[in-house]
Amino acid sequence: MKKLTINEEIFLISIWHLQEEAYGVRIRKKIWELTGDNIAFGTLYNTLDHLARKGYVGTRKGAPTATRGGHNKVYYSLTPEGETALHRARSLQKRLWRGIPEYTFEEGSES
Amino acid sequence: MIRRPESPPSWARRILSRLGEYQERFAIAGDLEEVFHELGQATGYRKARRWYCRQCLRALPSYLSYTAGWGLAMLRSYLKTGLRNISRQKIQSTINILGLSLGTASCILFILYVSDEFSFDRFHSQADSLYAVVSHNQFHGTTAVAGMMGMGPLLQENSAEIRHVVRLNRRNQAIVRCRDLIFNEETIFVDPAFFEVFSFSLLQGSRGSALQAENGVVLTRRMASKYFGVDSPLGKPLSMTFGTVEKEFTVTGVAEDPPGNSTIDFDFLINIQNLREIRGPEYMSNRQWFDTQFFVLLQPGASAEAVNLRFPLFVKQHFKDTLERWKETGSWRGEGDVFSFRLHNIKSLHLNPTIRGIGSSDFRSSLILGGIALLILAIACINFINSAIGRASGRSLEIGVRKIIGARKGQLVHQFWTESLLLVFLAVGGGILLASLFLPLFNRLAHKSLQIHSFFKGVNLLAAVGMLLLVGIAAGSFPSLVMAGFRPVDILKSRIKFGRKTLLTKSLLTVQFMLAVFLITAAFTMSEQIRTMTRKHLGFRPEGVIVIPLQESGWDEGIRTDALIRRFRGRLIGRAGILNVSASTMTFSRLMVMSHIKIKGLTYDVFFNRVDFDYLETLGIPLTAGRDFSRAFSTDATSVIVNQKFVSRYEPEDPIGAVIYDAYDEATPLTIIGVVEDFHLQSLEREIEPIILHMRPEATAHNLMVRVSTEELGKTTALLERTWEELQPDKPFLFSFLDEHIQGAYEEERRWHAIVRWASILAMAITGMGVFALTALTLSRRVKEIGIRRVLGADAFQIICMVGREFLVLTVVANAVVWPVAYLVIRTWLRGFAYRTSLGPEPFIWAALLTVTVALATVSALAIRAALADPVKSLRIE
Repeated sequence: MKKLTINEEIFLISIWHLQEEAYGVRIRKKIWELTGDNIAFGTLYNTLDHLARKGYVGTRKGAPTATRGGHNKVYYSLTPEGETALHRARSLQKRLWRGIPEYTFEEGSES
Repeated sequence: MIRRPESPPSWARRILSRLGEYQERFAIAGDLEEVFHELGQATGYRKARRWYCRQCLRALPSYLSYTAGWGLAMLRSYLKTGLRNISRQKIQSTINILGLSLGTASCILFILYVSDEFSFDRFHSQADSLYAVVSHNQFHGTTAVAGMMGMGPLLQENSAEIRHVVRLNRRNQAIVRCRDLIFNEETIFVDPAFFEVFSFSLLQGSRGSALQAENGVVLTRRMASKYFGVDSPLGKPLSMTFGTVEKEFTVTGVAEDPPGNSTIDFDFLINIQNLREIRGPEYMSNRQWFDTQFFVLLQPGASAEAVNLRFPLFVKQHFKDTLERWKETGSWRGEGDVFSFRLHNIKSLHLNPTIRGIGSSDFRSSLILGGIALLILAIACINFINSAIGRASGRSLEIGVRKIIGARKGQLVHQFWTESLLLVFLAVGGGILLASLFLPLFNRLAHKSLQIHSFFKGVNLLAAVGMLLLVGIAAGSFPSLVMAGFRPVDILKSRIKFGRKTLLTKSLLTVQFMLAVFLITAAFTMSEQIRTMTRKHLGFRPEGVIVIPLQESGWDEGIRTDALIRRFRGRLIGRAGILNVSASTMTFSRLMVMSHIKIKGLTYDVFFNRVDFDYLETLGIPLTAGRDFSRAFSTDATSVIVNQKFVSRYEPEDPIGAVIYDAYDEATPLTIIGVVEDFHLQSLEREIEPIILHMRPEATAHNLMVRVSTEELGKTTALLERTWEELQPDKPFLFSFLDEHIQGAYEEERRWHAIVRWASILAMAITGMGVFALTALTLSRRVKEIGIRRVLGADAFQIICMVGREFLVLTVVANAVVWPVAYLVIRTWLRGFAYRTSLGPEPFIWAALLTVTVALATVSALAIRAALADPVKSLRIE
């Protein structure tokens, strides 16, 4: 299985955080909370599509509401593949960072 | 704009939801809306709206590239299916394309015609400030581009706005001699500024000085090649004889032939000062003869209105004598001045039919031609729609399947439109080909010299593309809009029945037949009318009368022809084949110019015709009272013969011996010595008018009239030519038969008749093709039905009747509906003729017969094949 990109990782983690409430607006907000990035809706949905095609997330339609101008929400949730992928990413990260002292890449440390 | 601040701008919303629709992501629009409201509540809706718009603009590029990408992909698919469908249905497509090609061809010809009409005189680079001086004569009620020669210098003095005045003195027949060539040519005397004012291109010579020299002549390219062949004519000598004056000229310039859309046509241009010698010095300052055309070039930005305002005073100042003369002779007793002037921009000159003498055309003829072209196009479009409806059943399955696979209605609509536009595109190609094929014929009919390449420029092409789109969309709208809307379930369960002729098909067919019937009746009536006019007894016997023009220029009083006529008569009378010799001013023409006489102080309209002895005998006009002109009476110079119309209109009591006066010469009393039966001197479009035949010495008879025996005509004409060469060795011998003059008077009617005849042939042909295509379709659907009928015992004839019956009903209905309309239109047209054919039932019967025959012949040709086919074969197919 291919490795997750950092973007995919951020998305999947956001979705995991949100659990039952993971739909477009919330995911975008979560990403902002986690990373400080304000991503465009186009990017958001392109990545979500991409994740769904890879089978990391599943979708489910919610009921349309008035505040959304009559459009339904699409909820995203992690599939078992998604969870495995996250798990692999985490262990990879651990493996990668093993043996590198905490302060090595801290800001201003190079000088 | 901010009416509902709590909702996002609608345009942005639409774009975003469209974007969602394309990517199957309705959620995105919902998300944006949600964030919008959140933002609105937190920071105010103004900000929220701004944010929303920004989002939308950011989405725009991807939206556009997305739609364009899919659009292209779909277009390719549409084109592919379209081409497949066209090549699958060979007969249908051929008929469609051919019909539409004919329709477009006629429209292209029309566009060419109209754009030529509207481009008249616009090629002059200074056209905006180039004006013609138009004179209006209240007495004659005529308007013309005409002025008096003496007006030239006065005009320029009178108005500072006028930069140049160019006089054109036309109607100057000259005998042109160059090397061993002699021809009669029309020359125009012009001011030297001619080429500075008008934009005719000069191939050789200088624009400024070509006409400066008095003995210089500028000729057109066609004349240069006529007289000099391939040699350069520049500097070569040319001699011209005007009346009695012979002058030597040198070619100082060669001009390009004037274009077909120029009001001013010329072959030989000569400096106007030559007229001083030819017509005498008084002529140059005369303020009496309206025989010169004036064109003025205004200063840039000067207004013509300013000049127009000064004209009434101008007339009173400079033409006092002329005005007085009109009053004194009593010709004009009405209000105001008898004539007035006005400037008329050269660009709108051609389309003003009230202005005489410049070959201006009636805008109505453009309208009629356009109407005809649109009729033919409409008939072709109907074929197109009908065959689309007819094919619907074959395609309904395709539509159903496409819809189930997921095609949206819009996509199906686009597919059908692409298909019909593809057909139309092919048809336009064919149309251009056909148009260039028909162009020579059309040019002859419409009296034009149009060229196909002038179609390919700006406005024309725009019009053509517009037409193409219109036809494609109109013709493709039925299948695309109606069929695309069907529910796939209904189609697949065959709940929708196709293949039967729907009410729409039937009414469209009826419309086709109606248009065809209308054109056919019009064509038949026109030919009837022409036959009536040419066959009617004219009151004289024109056959066997040869007309020899003695001098062309009508009003030039310089040459006396009496002596010449006498000499001709002396040499010809008694020779074999010559029955009678006389002369006359008028032969037979479309329209003649009225003159005026006075009886007991009252003025009347009348035609004057200067004749010679034996005129009545030569033409075979019977006398009803009095006597013919005779050499035995020396008073016959002031004797006149009138026709019966004259008697019945003006002189109820005993006419013989009555005295009348020429309205312009009241000193000489004219005595009526005879009355003849009415005879026609002009087109039968006009009533017979009072005619006066006279032999006054101050007038000239221009045409020698010789009655010859119709046997051994060749020998007689040879004799005439020999005699001519003996008496007039330096003038070309021209002759024509009086019959030809009579036929020539109806040329316009003939041309219109030819146009309408061609249009009705086209209309009938396209309708016939449509019927053929439709029948072929229906029959292919009904193969089984016909097979079963045959098996059950129907014979071929019954089957033909079954198929043909419907069409018969349609044609009959079409005829019945159109007859009253056609009757009214044709009657209005016929009212324009004084002598008209009685509008009988024949044209209508002919139209009915033709339409029914064509319809039935097409249908039965196909039906016979279907009926004679082996029913076993057709039934076995499953």
